[in-house]
Amino acid sequence: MGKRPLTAGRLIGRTLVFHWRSNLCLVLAVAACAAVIAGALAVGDSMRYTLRSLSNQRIGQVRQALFTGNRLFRQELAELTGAVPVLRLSGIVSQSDGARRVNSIQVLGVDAHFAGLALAPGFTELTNGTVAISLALARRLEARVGDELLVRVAKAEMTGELALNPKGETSRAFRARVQAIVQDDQMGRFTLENTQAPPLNVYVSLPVLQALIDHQAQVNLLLAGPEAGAFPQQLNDRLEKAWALPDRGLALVDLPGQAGVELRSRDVFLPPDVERAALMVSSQAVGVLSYLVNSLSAGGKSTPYSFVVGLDPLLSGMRLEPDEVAVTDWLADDLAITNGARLDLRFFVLGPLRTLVETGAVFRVGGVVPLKDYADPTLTPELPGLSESVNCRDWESGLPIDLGRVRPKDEAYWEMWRGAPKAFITLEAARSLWSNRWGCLTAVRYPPTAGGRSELEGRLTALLNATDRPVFKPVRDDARKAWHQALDFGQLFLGLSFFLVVSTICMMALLFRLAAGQQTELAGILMALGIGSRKVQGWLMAGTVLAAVPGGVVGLPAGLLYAKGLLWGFESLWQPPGTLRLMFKVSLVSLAAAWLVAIALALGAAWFMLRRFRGKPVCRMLEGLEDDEPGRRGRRTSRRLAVRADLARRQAGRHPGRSALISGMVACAVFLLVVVAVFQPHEADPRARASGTGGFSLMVETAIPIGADLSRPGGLEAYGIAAAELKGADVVGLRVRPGDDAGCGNLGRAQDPRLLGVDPEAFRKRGSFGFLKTLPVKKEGSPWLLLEAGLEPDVIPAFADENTLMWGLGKALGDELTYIDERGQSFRLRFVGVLENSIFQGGILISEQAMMARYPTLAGQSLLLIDVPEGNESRVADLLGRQLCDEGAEVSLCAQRLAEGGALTVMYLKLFQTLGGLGLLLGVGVVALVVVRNAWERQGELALLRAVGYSRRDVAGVLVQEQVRLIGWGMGVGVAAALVVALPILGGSRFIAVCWPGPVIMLMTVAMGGLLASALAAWAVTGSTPWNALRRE
Amino acid sequence: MSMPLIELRDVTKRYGKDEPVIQGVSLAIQAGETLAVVGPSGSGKSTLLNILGALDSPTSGQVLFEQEDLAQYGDDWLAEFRNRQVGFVFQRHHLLPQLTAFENVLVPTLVTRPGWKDTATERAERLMTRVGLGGKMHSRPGELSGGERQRVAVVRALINAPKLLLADEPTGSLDAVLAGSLVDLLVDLNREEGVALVMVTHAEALARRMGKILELHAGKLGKG
Ligand SMILES: Nc1ncnc2c1ncn2[C@@H]1O[C@H](COP(=O)(O)OP(=O)(O)O)[C@@H](O)[C@H]1O
Ligand SMILES: [Mg+2]
Repeated sequence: MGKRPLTAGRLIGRTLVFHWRSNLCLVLAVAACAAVIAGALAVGDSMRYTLRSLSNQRIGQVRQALFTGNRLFRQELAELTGAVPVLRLSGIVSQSDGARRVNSIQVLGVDAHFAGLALAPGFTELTNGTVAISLALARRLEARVGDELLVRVAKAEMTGELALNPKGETSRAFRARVQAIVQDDQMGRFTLENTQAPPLNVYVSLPVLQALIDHQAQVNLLLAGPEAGAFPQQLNDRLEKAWALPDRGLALVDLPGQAGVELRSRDVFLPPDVERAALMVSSQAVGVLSYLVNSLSAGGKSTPYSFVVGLDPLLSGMRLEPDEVAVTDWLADDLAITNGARLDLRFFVLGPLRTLVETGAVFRVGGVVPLKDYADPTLTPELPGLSESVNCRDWESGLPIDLGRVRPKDEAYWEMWRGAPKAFITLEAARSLWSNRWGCLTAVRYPPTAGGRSELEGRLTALLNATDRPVFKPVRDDARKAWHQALDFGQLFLGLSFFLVVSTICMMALLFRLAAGQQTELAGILMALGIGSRKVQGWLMAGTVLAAVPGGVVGLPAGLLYAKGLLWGFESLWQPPGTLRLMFKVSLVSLAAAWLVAIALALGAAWFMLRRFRGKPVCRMLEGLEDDEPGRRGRRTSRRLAVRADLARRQAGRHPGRSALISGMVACAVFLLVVVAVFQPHEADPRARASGTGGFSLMVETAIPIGADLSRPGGLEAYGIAAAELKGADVVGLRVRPGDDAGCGNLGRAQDPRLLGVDPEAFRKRGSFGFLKTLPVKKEGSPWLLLEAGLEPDVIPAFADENTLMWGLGKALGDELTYIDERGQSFRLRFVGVLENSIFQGGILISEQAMMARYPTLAGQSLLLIDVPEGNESRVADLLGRQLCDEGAEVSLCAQRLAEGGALTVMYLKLFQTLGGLGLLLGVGVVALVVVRNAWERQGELALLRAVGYSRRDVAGVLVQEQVRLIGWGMGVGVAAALVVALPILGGSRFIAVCWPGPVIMLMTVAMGGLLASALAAWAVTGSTPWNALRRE
Repeated sequence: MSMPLIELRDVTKRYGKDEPVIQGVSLAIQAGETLAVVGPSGSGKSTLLNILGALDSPTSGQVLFEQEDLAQYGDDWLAEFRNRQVGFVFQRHHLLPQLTAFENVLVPTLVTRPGWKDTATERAERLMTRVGLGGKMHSRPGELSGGERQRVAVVRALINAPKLLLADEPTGSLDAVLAGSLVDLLVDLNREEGVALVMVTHAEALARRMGKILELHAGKLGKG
């Protein structure tokens, strides 16, 4: 066997084994590096995988979806477009014994087609009296199959906050038994919002739900599966063809006696854009505005609750001046008036949020007309609660009607003539008195000469569709984007682990640096013996590869464990606790990448070391090139004169690169820890108005929007709250257009973030909330005014808070975001201001006005902020929770909400700190390694010291002294650098160092640990008998 | 006079701006000749030897091996030149501690011409036995005595049958008896292998065993 020729492989192998100690260190360093990288990438993979699986479960097979909120359309459209019809309402559910209750659920009216959209079969057919509930809801309710639930759903009304609607009719409730619990992959996670939180769903049979809210055969959601949704263009074309007047709540009806055709709205008033189109369709079109007047009085006599109609002269055939009124003979008799008399009209003006203001107007009687000729009940719109009642006493209008004023005479009139108007004014006069947010006409009439009904309908539909037609949204693509564009947690954790990676690189560099002398000598011998320098370098690199490759392999499983640890940490620090379940997943690509990068880094370090002797004469390499280093030359002669301190100093000076590496590493870690500590978010006094709570103490979120203005006594009374109970309290309501949470709590990227409509004036007056930065504000103006600033057409000014804008949306001040409004028109939000972190995290603020213009059918407010006098918080919270129970009110403390929002930021900082600490630990490990190595290298020198009488302690001290200096330098530089960065911030008010003790303790522990390790190492090394070492020299 | 094996013409070597380490040295070595280089420490002996063995290049002057100027060749050629034509024995043996004696001897064969490897392996065995290390072939350098290590180094230097053997104070770390026997061995091998031998030494007795003695003094050549 001894006769075998020598091969390069054997030489490399023998060399590896011979220097097993340093090669083992290299293996470990590469392993650590691979582990850190693989760990970070695996976290990224797991996050992405989790998000992807959740989003797949969330939308099942759905490709495209059309959701119209409160605007219900015909279920027929489902067949016409090939989509699945769903009626989606918000609601509240409780166990029927009231034991458990969940606010803010989603109630889905579904038919048999819905099951076909699920990833897995098993979705049950529902019957009357049964419901299915999602797994998450079952857990929250602790409900089982067979339990009876009480479900309350919001009625989808386009005019929910119009005071004409009967009060208390914004929701309806029903009882049902749980027939099945819907699993995650059976559409149990279905929601249109891009979120990871499992939705709380109740599934009801579609006709049952439709009947419940009195909207037979109407839905508000179409889901297109793989077939129908494959070609979005085609789908939208089909939708456009099918989208007709009934889908807007409009109807063209033939008037009796072939008097022509009339356009009416299900919601009393014709919206302005409909009015415009309706009048454009034909030049003969005339508007009608009928109004319920509280009283008509003249000369001390009064007639209650009558309809007055504003008519175009074309229609009435009467010539009236704008201040004239024509009365029926019935009214003239009742009030005993004739031509020229003054008629006093009292009526309510309808404002947003059910506000009613009674005002009046005076007209001169310009004519008396016979009732029997003019008694046209079709002139008055169908008022909810009114028109269908046989008797006045059964009126159930939303208006405060005093039935005591209704005389038998009026009863008789109602029975005979129903809502036939008693007086007529000009259309202009009517418009100027009764126009409101919802419109200014109750009908448009077309004479027979204007065209037939179907012809008119065709023209009108085409005209309306041009500006107002909902479109299918590519929900699947959006869901994909949500996880695709999500914050890359792989990168984030790589960033967070940056210091760890740098530490491992430093460690490798140091190992090569330490081995450089011996490697150079080896190379020198080989080259002296006639082996080409390239070949020699190749062999040395091959040796590195052989150590690095298994190092990488060892590192990968370690990395996976590390990733599991990180994920576990992430899950357990997540807020609110226990709501995040991550699935572990790692791709081969990530593993390969981590492995290759770690090896490449090792090779890079090796290459860097080889650079030292490239081009040097071989005879110099034989000496290990050591003579290059300053100080060496004099060493031999001055050795005897060495005193301890001098020796240590020279030691540090002799290896400037080595020392710089160590000090630099410590400095980086310290810098990081200190800076992170300083940047802890500042907990401002949450009661301050400039804080993120806006000075509000309570936040009320309702599942069913509140269609009343709770900042007014009248609004409070409507919900049974005495104004006195909220004395001194300030209530600000916000309109909410539901959408994706764009806050830190959403791991995916929000595609359609939630919008909050605010009244900027309310916040300006209070001086609520602080701004981080805004676009330029006019002098002495409040930033809040920016929300009302007019920008280009189709651009709406918006605010968001820092976390939402930067992390949730990845946007900056001045950036824009495109939305599609209720009419299918796109518009852009431009961020004109950045709020400091606030209770609005995850949402975007626009002005209430802009919100109502873009989403006119979004009725009511579902977010209330309440500032109550101190000490009254819990009383008011209880009161609101009770009185707004049917609205599914969830009352929380603003301060707590703010803290929860900040909790995630703190979590990221904690993770960063922990990883930084790990890096520092690794760095200190390297320091100990260097101590051992130095001592070993200088054994002779140290032995000599001992031989001339120094004690072991003294000698070990020499070794440690240098490390103390290096660590000291590193810490000093790190702290100084951190302070330079942090001092200006510490001076400001936004951040203060609240977490000093933690990092300081950590720094101290690590520093002491490092010194202890160094000391132990030095002690161990100096233990060997001095004579052995001396002899070896 | 026949054509010299290797010849230095007016060779000067200086490091940086210092005084030259060797200055204007010219000498010629015939094939199979033996030559001792003596001189005080720091006089440039090792530098001279390194230049002869192409481990270092002169600052000025020429090095001709079989009439060919080494300056015209690149690193790879010079490596091959060292591998085929030159054998080195250093003061510090410079054996690789990770290899056995036998493997150390074979290191130069890692890059030899095809077919030579097997021959070289047999030759290694023969030479090892010849220098009295037949029983120590599988010992590591750490397990060998100083004299044995130098003998391994000698065999390694001769393994590729070079024409020139350069020994830089090969006996420097040996006692007088061992030093004598190592020089005996070198002289014998010089004769057996027909290899020219240039040896740097302090010991006059050893130097006198060489055919010629050159004395270096402050970088300049004088006859010994
Ligand atoms: N790389 C170098 N840089 C600078 N001076 C050197 C270098 N190598 C050798 N010398 C100097 O050259 C002179 C001759 O060295 P050397 O040839 O080793 O002498 P000798 O072998 O005769 O003792 C010495 O003074 C030495 O200091
Ligand atoms: Mg010398």
